[in-house]
Amino acid sequence: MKPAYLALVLHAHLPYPMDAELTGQADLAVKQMYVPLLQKLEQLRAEQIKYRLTIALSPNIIAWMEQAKYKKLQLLGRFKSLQDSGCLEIIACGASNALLPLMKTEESIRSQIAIGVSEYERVFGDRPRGVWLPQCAFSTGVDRILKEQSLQYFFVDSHAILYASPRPNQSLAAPLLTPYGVSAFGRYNGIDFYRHYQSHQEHWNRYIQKEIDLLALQADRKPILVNLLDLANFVSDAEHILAFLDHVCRHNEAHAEHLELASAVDYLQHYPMSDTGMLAAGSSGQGGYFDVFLNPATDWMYRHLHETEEQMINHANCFLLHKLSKLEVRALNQAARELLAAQATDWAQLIVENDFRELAENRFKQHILHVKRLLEMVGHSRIDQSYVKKLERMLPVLPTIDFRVFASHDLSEVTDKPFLQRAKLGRGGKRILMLAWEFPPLVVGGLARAVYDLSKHLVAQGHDIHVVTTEVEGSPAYEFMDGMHVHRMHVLRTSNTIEFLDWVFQMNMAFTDFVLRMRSLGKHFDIIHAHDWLVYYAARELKYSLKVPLVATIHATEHGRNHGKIDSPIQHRIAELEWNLTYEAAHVIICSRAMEVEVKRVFQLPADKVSMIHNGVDLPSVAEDQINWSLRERYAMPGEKIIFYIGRLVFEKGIQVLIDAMPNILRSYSSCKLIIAGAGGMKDDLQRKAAHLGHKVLFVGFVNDETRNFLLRAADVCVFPSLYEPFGIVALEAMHTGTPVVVSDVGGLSEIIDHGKDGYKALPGHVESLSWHIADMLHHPDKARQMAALAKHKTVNLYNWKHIAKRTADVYEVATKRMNSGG
Amino acid sequence: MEKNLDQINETGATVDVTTESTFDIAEWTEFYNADRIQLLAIDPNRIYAYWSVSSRKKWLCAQHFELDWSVMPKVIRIYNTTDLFFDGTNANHFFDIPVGESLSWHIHHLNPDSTYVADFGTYNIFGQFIPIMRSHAVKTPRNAVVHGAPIVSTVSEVQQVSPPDHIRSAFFENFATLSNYQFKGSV
Repeated sequence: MKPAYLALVLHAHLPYPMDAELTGQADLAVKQMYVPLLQKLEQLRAEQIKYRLTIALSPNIIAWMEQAKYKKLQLLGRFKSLQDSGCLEIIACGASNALLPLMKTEESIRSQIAIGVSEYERVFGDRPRGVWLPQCAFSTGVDRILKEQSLQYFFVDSHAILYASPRPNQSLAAPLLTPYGVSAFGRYNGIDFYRHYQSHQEHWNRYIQKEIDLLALQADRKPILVNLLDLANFVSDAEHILAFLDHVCRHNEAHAEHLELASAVDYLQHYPMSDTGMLAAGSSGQGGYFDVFLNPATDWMYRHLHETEEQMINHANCFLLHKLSKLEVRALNQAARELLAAQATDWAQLIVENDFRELAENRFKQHILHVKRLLEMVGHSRIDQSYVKKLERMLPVLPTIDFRVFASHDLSEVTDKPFLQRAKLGRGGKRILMLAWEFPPLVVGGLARAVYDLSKHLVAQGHDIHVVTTEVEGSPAYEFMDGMHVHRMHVLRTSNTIEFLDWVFQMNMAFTDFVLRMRSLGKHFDIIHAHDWLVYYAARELKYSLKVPLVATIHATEHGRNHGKIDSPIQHRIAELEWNLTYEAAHVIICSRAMEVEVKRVFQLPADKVSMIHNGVDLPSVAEDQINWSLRERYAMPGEKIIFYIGRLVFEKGIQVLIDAMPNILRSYSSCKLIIAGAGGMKDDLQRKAAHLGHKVLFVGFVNDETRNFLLRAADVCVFPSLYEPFGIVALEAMHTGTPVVVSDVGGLSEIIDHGKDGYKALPGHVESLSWHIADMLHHPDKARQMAALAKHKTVNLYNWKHIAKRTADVYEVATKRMNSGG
Repeated sequence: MEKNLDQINETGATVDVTTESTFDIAEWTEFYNADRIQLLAIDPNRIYAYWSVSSRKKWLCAQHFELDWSVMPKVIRIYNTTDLFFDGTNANHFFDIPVGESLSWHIHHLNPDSTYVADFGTYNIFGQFIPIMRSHAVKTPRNAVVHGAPIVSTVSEVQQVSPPDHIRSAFFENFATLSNYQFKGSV
């Protein structure tokens, strides 16, 4: 027979009794099992028999043994003295007999372990080296938390080792070091030592000899056999198990060269190095996984456990740094005890075994209920002292527990997010929530730019701005940008495509969830400013949930976009959502006189609910000499004049009219070309339409800001031939760069341009009118330059964002006053 | 709740605690009024999923789909996301389970050592699945000896003389910190 180590690990636990039934069982266990066990071990020591056993004492059993009625017996002190004399290695347990892999949060698992460890320290005076994982239940990450608590080893079922990755060289003969540096000892399932002993008492050693020889073949060292005994299973059979232990210990000395009793810690001192591998998840429950604990009879429990652990963590985070009264601390500590008690798998096991089903269900519910009530009492600062006292008396476990263990490790992850910090407000400053589906760098239409410019200038005037928008690839989910907080929301995608309107709905759910989460963490807002119908659902929901006024800006309407014709179901729906948004809003902002007429008519809005605040222009001014004119060669030949359009390629923008006008223009002024920048649904149609004009029409697609600004500047005339245009911010930007503009006489555009003075207004959709005005600009560069200079002057003075932000803030004030006066 | 508390106060500390459990815990799911979807790996082939939908979300859905919540189709979609950076569209494979009014499901016939994500959602009138909430990912246990897996070593933090109080996770875990649930999209 090859020499081997034998680690006999005993586990002592009982469900903490709160009724006569379980109390009887617990007393019986102490009387029949634990007292005789102690006597046996002490007797062996007195006889100077050399032996080494390992025992895990759960906090429940510790609490039970610490009761007044057992005080005389000094049970724990005697275990400790056995440990001190080297016969016994006592290891820690989780705080309650809880299945760690079925917990929801890391905080909860950490608390289980940390509380178990500190309870051990309280009772035995030093730090435990090993730990008993309840039911040997393991999944990746549990080892990380064991390492954080400086634990050196734990026990798993054999398949956790056998299915480890990579395949362990030494199989079950040696422990495996997990990647977090904790040693896992696998239970040896090949032999049930105790059962063998039962049937072959005298020849016991010989029976296991074969197995050990086999195991030794796989090992490059003296193998260790781990045998785990759950003492709770043997209470009625205590005599036999004690006889077995007696036999093993007495034979230890005689057979030490073959099978030597050792604890895992002795083994690790002897062989500090072992292979590293990732354990497989599993437990020692029937079947090897978790179905004994999570099955149709018990599955309902986990939802409540998870909900309660979350509440406990939230409270711990919340009260971590508070100065609390003694009673508050007691209530929170008791809540922690009750949660740990609910987490014990004892209840699930009793339910499955069916003997004490009702009792177990009731106990579980009670503990959950107690946590809930205690936390409610603390939350409402109305603690019933007698209630706390009563619970403390019923469940007097873990006397030195500290609820703060449940706090999240990195609080900055939870409550310290930069955007949750108190806003620094200027005089009269407000905390404003901007809802906009597009925001730079996602720029689809004018909305993104308008929201950005407005927000930037509101910040400058002492307001606190949070923009909630959609995610863009390559941009962070949260960004502090030009003094404003930008939150980009992830919208769930799936394996199939999703209708646009349904996507909009999903986006709104994400917005709502996020803002409410910020609210629950203490972030307040004074006003919600929603931009266009796409954010309607969120705007409405948040208006009622946060109880703050809602201001809506209508950048365009579905009626306008479709020339007053609402036909398809989608158009109907959008029009409806727009109507709803203006209905829910305390005040509506629009950007031009034309829009004012439109919204009043389409949405039946009273005049005092609508404010006209036009958009502004805010471009960085670039000095003449800093422009890289050589870039122009990429787009046009020297001397060839550029007609430039930028914007979405959609019908309402009238690009088709511009392309139709090109032959006329070329006939009149041949050395020119049309450059079209932007993307959109009509791209293919437009390209087909322009094909006969060859290189005289160039599509450059979507351009970045830099190229856009360059082209606006390099162009000889910028043309915006829209059929519908609520405002036309891009025309303002063109004017701001000092390039002459030709626009169509429609909506906001007709209000910007003074015809013949600072630009031309062509008849909307009229090819001849448009071509004449463009050609006129090209033929008379001096006049064009004069007009452009006047136009630039206008943008600087009239379309000034500072002024616009101020007026918008006034609207917020009006909306707030109206709400406060109950309007 | 209030009533129960009163009972305790009146009868004092000697009350038999079993009287408290008259509260029906099944009703609590509604009481929490939270949006949750959670997966738990039971064994190599099975996952337990449970979920709940807040009244707010039910109301929003009813508004948008113009249907009463009770008659909306309710579906969970299970994605196999093993070894993927899952973005919703790129699952190895997926399948739908119409769940009716049930608030939990035992999902069978899954692969061992594989990662799964579940969505709770509905179908629109075109039969497109619209996710309403997404679970975190969960990995089923391995149930076979590994062949040809790479050697692993201990993570750098534990190679130091005194490892830090907090060790970052270096491998996939079935649990997460609370903030991960609260701020990373899943519920």
